[in-house]
Amino acid sequence: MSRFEALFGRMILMMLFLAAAAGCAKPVREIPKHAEQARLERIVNTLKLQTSHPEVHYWARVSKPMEDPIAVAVLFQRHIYIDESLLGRDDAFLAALLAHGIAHHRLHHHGKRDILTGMQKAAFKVGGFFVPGLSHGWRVTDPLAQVATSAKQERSADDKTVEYLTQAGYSEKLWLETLEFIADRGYGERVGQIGYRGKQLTNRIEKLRQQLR
Amino acid sequence: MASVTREVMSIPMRRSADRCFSAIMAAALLCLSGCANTPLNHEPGLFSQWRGQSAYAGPVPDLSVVLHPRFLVFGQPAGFDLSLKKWRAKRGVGNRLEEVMEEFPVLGNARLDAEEADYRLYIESTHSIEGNKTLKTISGITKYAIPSSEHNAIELEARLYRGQEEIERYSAIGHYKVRWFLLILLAPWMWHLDAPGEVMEDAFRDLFIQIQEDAPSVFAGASGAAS
Repeated sequence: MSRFEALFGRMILMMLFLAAAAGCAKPVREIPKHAEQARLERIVNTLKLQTSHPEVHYWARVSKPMEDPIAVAVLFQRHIYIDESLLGRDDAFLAALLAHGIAHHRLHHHGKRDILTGMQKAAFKVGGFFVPGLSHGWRVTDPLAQVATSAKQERSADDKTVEYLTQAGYSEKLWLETLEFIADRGYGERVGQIGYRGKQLTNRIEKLRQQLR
Repeated sequence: MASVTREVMSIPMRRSADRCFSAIMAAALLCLSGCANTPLNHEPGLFSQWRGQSAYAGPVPDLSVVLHPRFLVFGQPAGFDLSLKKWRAKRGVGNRLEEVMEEFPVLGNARLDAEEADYRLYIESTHSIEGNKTLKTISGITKYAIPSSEHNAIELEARLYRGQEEIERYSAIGHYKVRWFLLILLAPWMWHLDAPGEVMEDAFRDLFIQIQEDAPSVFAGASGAAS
């Protein structure tokens, strides 16, 4: 085996490992028609009035608590899931989580990721005509590209969340306090297929602290 | 002379090839696995009595209908991401919705995804797949030699808005059963290929009948009227 082939092999293995560990979160499980769903929808209906398109509807839903709990999951078709174990908290806390979900939807983060991954997929498919096997390359690069774009998207969603909450009459630091709470209690966040927890959350908390100082 | 010899020699070969092909086709047809769909009940199930109703003379509002379709696979939400298959599925649901909308005079001024409208109707269409996940996996691995079944539902939740104010909520649900097994071709009476589509259309009808019944009170301020 030539030196080049060995290096190429290692690169492929490393990329596969990175793709596997790139933060693909476990899917959430819905609790249909939860008793608290009406409360979440009421909070969403007041929050969406602060957005540039208040007529747009968002579907607030409750998810089952999991081993690796996800406080808020922002999924396709304008759905926002809140972990059932957090429903005992006050309206302000839930408003912060829901405002963050609305911020992701309003900033079209799913759509932007879809365009990037779609272009990537198309490029690999074309490449597959010339290099056998290359058409499957998107399976490796897809989660990597999503993770790469998500950091920037999270920062913009955090800013938007603070803006919506302030406009709705909540404290400027509400989102920071909510993030600190979910990070301390081991909760995570999920946007599409990508999950955030632990250090990713603490980095965001640090940036928000500096910003709101 | 040479061509005749070649033709005579090829006849037995051709016969055996034909026999072989027929055997393969018969085996393939018999072994073809598939699913049998059976539509089940609807809630509230208004569409069964609705067909013979009298002409509508109520208000016809300027309405924007926004559809949010999704799958709920064993309780796990699955949205429509950027894949051709899922895009086609979303388009399919949209087309069915538009076809059903044409049957209702109250929706005469309704448009799908219209930006400007007096009223907005948001519909969440959930195609939920329920059943035994383990059995389904085993059944799939064995190419349905071990049969499995699913109890699926198409659940519609709708929110009607006037401007930014939510004025009414509607819901409808349709159930159907899917059975996966081998030798599907031997049971043609069980084929009901478009059962999910029909269940979806009837669920949409159930939803719009409720809206049409409520129309005089809900769309009281609407400018249009049925001709």
